[in-house]
Amino acid sequence: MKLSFFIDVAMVILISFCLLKKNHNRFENLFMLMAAEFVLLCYYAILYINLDLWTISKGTERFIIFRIYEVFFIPLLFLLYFNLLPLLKKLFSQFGLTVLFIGIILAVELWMVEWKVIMYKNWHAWQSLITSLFLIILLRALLKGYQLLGEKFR
Amino acid sequence: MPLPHKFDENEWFVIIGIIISYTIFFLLPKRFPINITILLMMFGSVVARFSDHLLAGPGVDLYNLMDTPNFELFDLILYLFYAPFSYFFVYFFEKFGIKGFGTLFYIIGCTLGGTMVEWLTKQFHVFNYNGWHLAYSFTVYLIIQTLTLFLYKWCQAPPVDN
Repeated sequence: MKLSFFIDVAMVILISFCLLKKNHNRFENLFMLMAAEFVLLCYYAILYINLDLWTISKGTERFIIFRIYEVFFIPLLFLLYFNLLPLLKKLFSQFGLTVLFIGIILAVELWMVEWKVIMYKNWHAWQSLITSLFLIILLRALLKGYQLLGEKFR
Repeated sequence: MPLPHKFDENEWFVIIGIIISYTIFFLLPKRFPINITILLMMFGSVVARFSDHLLAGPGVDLYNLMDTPNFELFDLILYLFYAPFSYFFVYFFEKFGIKGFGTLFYIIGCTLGGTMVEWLTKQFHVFNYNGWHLAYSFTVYLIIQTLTLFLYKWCQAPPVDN
């Protein structure tokens, strides 16, 4: 039941992304998706394999939910955020969207904690908040680098 | 991120492999725009990271990379090693102007090549199998190389407005 509900939510986000008027070209979007996948998978591996700060449920349903969460749900949310950001011209609005996005990322993570998909060990929600901000800055810098290279060698 | 326990054959294999593959990459005349080159190279690394995370991570654990089951520094460096291979795959496909059923033979040939390289990495303990089999790698490479060609064709196709 939980799994099917989670897949439903993920599908709603995927359809929303497909229908959204993209503010980056398809190469930039693919770059962002791959960069987000790579960076996020490294981040999660460090968190729950190396540092053992999270425990992931071993139950089949919860385990699949976590896999969808880390490889599909969160990277897609990042992609959505980076496509919505250029729609807002004012810096204050962009800041507002960033705060909202970090809030959503944190809310989804706490939802996973609530469902016991993720169990915190020596980890606090505020740390996720800081790492989300760091991930946004990192991915934004990577995208800028990709755009600059594309323009320079056009 | 943990450093290697012992700097031995697997670390040397990765370093020498990276030096050789990137030397070839820089020596070859450029065929694609930089934005497509980056995407092709990234695709190899990201797909490798994706499959390693799913197949070698906790809960499945079919193989280990390098010295420990942890995500080590050299695991990360290993993904740099994959990048030029997906580029070479598309580069020679384009260079030799492969078409029709030639594509099928090209994909199968490159899949065999990829499986042989993986056999070599296994000898150097870059991969340590734990229920995995080389035959499975053949299947994985077959899928990934087909996807790489799809990606390349998608990059060439005119954009579609939504």
